[in-house]
Amino acid sequence: MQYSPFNVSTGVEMDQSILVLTPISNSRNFLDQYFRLLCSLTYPHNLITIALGEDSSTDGTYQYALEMAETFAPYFRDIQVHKLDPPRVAPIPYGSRHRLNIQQIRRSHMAMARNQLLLRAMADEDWALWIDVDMVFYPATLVEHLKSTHAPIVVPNCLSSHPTMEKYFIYDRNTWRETNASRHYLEDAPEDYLQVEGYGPSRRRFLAEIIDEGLVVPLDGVGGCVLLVEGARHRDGLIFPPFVFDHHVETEGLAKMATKMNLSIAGLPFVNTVHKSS
Amino acid sequence: MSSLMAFKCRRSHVSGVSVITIITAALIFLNHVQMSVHTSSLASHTTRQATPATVASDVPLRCPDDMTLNVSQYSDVQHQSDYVIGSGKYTDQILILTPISNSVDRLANYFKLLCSLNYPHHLISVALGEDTSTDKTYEIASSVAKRMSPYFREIQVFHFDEQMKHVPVYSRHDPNFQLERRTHLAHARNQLLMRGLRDEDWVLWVDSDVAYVPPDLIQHLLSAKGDVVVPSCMYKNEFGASMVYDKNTWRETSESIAYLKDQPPTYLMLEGYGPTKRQYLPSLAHEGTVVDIDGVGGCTLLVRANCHRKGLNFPAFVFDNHIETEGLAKMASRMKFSVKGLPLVNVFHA
Repeated sequence: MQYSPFNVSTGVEMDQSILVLTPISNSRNFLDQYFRLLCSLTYPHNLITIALGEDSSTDGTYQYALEMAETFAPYFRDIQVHKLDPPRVAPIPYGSRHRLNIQQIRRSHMAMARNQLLLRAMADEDWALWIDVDMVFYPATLVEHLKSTHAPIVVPNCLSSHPTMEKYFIYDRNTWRETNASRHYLEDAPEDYLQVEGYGPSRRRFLAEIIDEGLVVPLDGVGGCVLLVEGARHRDGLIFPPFVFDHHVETEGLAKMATKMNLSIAGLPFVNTVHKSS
Repeated sequence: MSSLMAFKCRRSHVSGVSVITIITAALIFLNHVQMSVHTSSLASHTTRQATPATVASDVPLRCPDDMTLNVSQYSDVQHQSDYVIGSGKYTDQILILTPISNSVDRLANYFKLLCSLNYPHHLISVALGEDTSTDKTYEIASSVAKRMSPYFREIQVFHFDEQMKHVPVYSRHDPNFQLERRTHLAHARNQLLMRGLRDEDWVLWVDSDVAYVPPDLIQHLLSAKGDVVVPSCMYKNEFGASMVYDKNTWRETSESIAYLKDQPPTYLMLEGYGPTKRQYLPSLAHEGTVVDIDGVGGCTLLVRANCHRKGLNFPAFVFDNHIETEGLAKMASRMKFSVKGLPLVNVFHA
């Protein structure tokens, strides 16, 4: 992966505050790398607040996160660690066990964790930057790249690599653009039908495949590896739907909700971030 | 630039640094009375958003005498209870949220209304969110809040910059204004929610122009044990009769469900403009004190704080053919939260 540290984008206001939001759960082993990456950011650290939201860990993630917060607090504007309500495990009625598959439950828990963290941590910050705790790489100028688009919602590529192969592949299957085929397919679907990507062939175009339209491209769905959202839009009510919203939940649901709120979504197909391979 | 350098991280591997957790104790002097402070829970480790201390209930907080609400107009309304403030084993923290805009004339009555509540005031915090006022609403709200803050757990006042133009009061019920007006209201409520909510257990939305509520309103609402709970919101007409004010609190009927089935997703269903297909809350009184409903209004609206935290908010767009408070009720049912109405508890809008 080639990356030049001198390739800094211009026209980005360096006086806007950023709130980095990260849900964590059994993430003890990722926190060192997580903070090392945050330290690598070139965006002024006195404008960066970090908020971690922990729930239902069994490996002492919360205590360790508190220690890390203490260690790194002098190097950022503020670091908060929030304890979130553990997910309410809803019993699945026998008759609907095929419709409510595990993806919907998992991602609705994820959405509720994100929403709780957002509501507890966000004050008057200009931008919310959602970063997964298990990222292994993003460019030091990540924030500048994302902000340079001046869009209310921005995502970069999120790739991953197999440990034995040196080839990168698309990790984030939630960042896509609708096609005629996908729109047509969803037209006939019942209202509570949940469309998930990454399970078989897709009707959508993923961000990494849209490389013929320039550096910034419009999108219809976003993932949560790295996701920049304008703070005021969150405060207006843009959240991660924990229910099926327009056939999607969580981050993709947020993108659908943003579309309803007349907000544009920008993707950066040439800015690469790397997620831990699963 | 030197300040930027100071924020540079140490270039070293992170070692397991043992940290001694320092618990700082704080003493709060309220009304010149020293009160003991509960240790705040370790739920959130934050320096910026310190939560207000909870004070012990052995010395009840009482508003000054000049803040007594004039209830003569509502003397026919049954007063269920008149307990002394602070009695009862109450522990739930309540956050009262109120969006205000050009509300200078209503603020005094609004705080008298809060003072009339006999739920323990040390468990009640208040947050006002002001936007697009053309008068001195923010300044006056801040000064009234400062005066009244010793009598509650905490009072905060926020100012929000909203781009939307202000809809004049006289035309606010014009149907053509509704999408814009209620989108704006949803924005205002969501912003206030995000800034105001801290560690409270319940959020009570109260309109700034509510004229009368029963003193035990909060106890009534809590007793429903729902996730979203509303009382009947009425008004007194010129002959002193109680009329339904809040037409957003209703239950769907087979007729309304059938009607909505044929509408496009962008269709905004409004109530209060011509005959309704729904049943309004007061008409459900025969079913008991707590009834299930499908739409809620914002006169006085109790929401479990954890439901808000999990994402329940006021849709600022057409959601399930509804918006704002009615949209919240629709969102609540999607999230499998219960929506309850109290047809026999009446609050009065001005």
